Amino acid sequence: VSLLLALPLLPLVVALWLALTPRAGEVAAGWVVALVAAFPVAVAGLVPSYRFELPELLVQGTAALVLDQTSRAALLLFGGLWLAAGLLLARRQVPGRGGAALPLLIALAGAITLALAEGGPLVYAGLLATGYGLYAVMAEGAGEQARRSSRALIVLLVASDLLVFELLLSVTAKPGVEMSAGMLMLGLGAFILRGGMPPAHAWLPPALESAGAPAAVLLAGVPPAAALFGALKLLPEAVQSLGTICLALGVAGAGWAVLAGLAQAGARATLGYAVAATAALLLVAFPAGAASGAVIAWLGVALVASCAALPLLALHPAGWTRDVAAAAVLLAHGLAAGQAAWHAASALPGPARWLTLPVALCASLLLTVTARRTLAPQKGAPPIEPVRVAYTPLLLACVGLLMAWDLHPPKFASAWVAPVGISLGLTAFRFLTARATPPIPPGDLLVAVERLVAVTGRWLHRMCTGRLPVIRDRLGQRVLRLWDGAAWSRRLREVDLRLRAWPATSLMMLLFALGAAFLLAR
Amino acid sequence: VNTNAWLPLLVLASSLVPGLIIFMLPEKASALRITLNLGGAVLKIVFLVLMMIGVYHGVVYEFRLPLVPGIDFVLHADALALLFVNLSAVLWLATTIYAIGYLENSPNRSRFFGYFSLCVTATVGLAMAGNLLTFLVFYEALTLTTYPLVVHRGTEIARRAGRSYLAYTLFGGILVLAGTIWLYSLTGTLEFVDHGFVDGLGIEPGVLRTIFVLLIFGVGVKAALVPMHGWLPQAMVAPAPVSALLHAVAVVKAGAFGVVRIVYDVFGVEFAAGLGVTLPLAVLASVTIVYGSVRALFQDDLKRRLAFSTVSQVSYITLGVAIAGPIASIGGLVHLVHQGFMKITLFFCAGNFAETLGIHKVSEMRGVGRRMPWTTAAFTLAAFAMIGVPPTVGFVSKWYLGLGALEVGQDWVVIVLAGSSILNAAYFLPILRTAWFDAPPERWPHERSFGRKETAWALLLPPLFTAFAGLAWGLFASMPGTPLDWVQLVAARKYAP
Repeated sequence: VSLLLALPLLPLVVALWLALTPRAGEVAAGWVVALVAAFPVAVAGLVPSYRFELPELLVQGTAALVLDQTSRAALLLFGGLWLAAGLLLARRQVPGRGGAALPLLIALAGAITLALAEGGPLVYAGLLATGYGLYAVMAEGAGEQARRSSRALIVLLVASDLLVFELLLSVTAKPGVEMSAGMLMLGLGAFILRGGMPPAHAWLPPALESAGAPAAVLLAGVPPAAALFGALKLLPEAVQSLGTICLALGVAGAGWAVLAGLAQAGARATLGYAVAATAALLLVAFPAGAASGAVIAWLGVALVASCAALPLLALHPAGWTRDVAAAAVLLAHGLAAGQAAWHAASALPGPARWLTLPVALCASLLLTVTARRTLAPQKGAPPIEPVRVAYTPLLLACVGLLMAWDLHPPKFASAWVAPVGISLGLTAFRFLTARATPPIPPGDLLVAVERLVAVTGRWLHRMCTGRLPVIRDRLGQRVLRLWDGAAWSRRLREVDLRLRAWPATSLMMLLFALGAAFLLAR
Repeated sequence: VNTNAWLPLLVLASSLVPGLIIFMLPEKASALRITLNLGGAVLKIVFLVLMMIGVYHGVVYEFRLPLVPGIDFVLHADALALLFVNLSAVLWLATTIYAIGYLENSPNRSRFFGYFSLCVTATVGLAMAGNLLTFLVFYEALTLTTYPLVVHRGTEIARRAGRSYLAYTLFGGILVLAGTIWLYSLTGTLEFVDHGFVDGLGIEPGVLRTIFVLLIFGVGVKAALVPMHGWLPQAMVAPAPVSALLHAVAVVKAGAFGVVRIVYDVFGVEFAAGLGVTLPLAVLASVTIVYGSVRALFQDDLKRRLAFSTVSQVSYITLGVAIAGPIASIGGLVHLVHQGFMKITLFFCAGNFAETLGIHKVSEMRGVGRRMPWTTAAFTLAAFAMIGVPPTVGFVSKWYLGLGALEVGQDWVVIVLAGSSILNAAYFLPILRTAWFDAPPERWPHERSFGRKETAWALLLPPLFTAFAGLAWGLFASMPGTPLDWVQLVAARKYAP
């Protein structure tokens, strides 16, 4: 049995085992998740590249599991994030643990499938399992805010899934035919919807605010990473032609995220916007990355893991180790952002290429503000023992950055984003006044979207429970009115009487019967 | 009459004979009744496996009995027939096990199981019908044998639903009869033939279109095509095994199968497309798909929601056939099996919720996943399959339907599929959310204790089996021996020049 096949199956087998032994302690469940997550990390680090064909799986006979540079990056990132979440789950004193082991394992199986899969339907299956698993992790959280944000997420996931489905159908139905720009845009839209990028970011800040620590690690890292690796595997190379559109969307998204993120009060809500800005940067870099292989994948690891490190740093007691770790996280993120911007600029024409830098600056600035808000001393906060788990995402970020540098050595142009972005972030934090309630609520658009959905829902409800049956009943009554039972009965009686009065009636009936018999016997 | 002719008869007899014996059994003879039921179901599957091997290698299984000069009573087991017979046989076994647990200690079990067996006999006969007359005989027999099951509870609501069911389906039967007689008077034959038997006879296209409409509307009543679907939500008053039978094994499937036979073996799919009748049929199927899903959205009664879901889902089969291309046909035909497994799982689970906790409404399902995790897990898998989430079987059906539509240039079908998936998600995901993530109430409406188990084994195993099958056949769809593999054989034969 292939090791690659065992990777996605192991979390499912363990989930089944946990389901069959409901008395397994939650602490044990956390360790189990961490152990299972360590397996893909080990495979990504130790096993040489290879490919395992699975023609019997799903449809089209094109499925395979592949361990190459891109999948290694994805495997390392997902494994590392789940390892951190599992270790947190195993710690009794970490608030908001919940009983999230089963959804965590299902989502991990999906993420590993996504990391290794080749062939549209299998990648699609991995994307869906990751998305729905993450939704389940969120839905486990108590509270109205968690409920609202998970509802928004599921709507976005369903919409994104359908777009991906359409994209796959188009690619499969017309092989060799260059895809239209409209279809490419739809495909790109699918990954924007599930990546937490503005304007599909509204669920992320409130979700992060209400999530427990293990869930927050995943929420800060998995959506943009899943969107990036899904897009790398599913979108055709023709997507490079959309570089300018991606740039425009990325600039708008990053600007939106910075404005709304700076206006937040809480660290977690700001983190949501920092993740959104990072997702916008990945979108800008994606068209160039789609052509140049694994560089964008490793840069994605560095950027996303840096974001995921912040909820863990919040659990770390104050001290120089935490400050150094935070500085390292910001530096890794800034350097990776600069590299991504430079990489994106190299594939863009004319002066538009300079617009990639503000996007990188926005992402770096916002993460710095998040870090400052995360590490700001809070009155009455309970003392927490050192959480060394925090170093896992930091390590991932460093590995991602070094691997990207190894593939494409950094230039000076990519190095200055980190100091400038961090300095701007620190300045912004210094001059922003601390507020109890933010001027823009977390997930700015969420309320508006919820209202829209509620109005549509009410209209549909009225339509389904009131209008449609009324229309049906009216139509039925109109049809029945055509059938005047008493009148028809009277008419038939009259016809019957006339027929009886007619001497040839019996002969006619006989002829009718003979005619029917003849037709049947012919 | 050789062995090959006897096998179709034996397949019929394996449910007919136990059914007739069960009618005569006293209520207390439950051991004998169970033995007869399960023995018949297992025997049927054995015969079917033998026939499948033969049909795969090109053997013809046909039983012919002259009725009147020129018209025979014909049982013919081709690959398409065996697809439906297999579905019915396997799900009959699952439903029988479920019904044994469900109806434990309830009255009139001999009557119930007797009609149950007769109903499956009629379904199997309909599937193996070799001509339109034999099809019609079993089509009407199916109506008459399912009516007592619909009114089994004997309440006023059940009787009203039964009357409505009879009125609709007998009306459909009359339409099929009229179409059959008219067609026979013009062609002189009713034999089902690959590529149809009406092509090249010089019959007026307008007449053929009218006959097509008569036949399709006739079988469309059972297939619950809008606006002939009204009986299906009403028939939800029947016990859960009957609902499962109506929705997954017998009645609606018989209607959908009728559509397949009429398009493929009466008119021929290319000829029907040339007549211009397949596009309106595809539009009607699409309207039904969207209408059923929209009506399902706000039904609080769980079984009623599932019933409207059936209205929507069964039309995928009609849509696949009406798109008139080989790949779409694969999608439609494989959905015959896939929808059966998914929907029966959902009804089994709905029955479990009702029997164990007294839950009949979606609004009562808060936290039921914590109390009945395995049943809810089976329900979840089936619901995901209905939405079309990979790697479940629903994805496979939708994939082939979408590809088939794009293959023949009917891109609008993909939008219908997408819209339907959104609506499916909109009416299934809230159920899953409330079942898994909401806090359970302090007291369930009507809780029964089964000790440490969440419910009786006979109630739990069938949905777990069907849900697992739905997952496995989706995951390993391209393996030999799966429904998809068999349907590809059917499509290859139907579209062979």
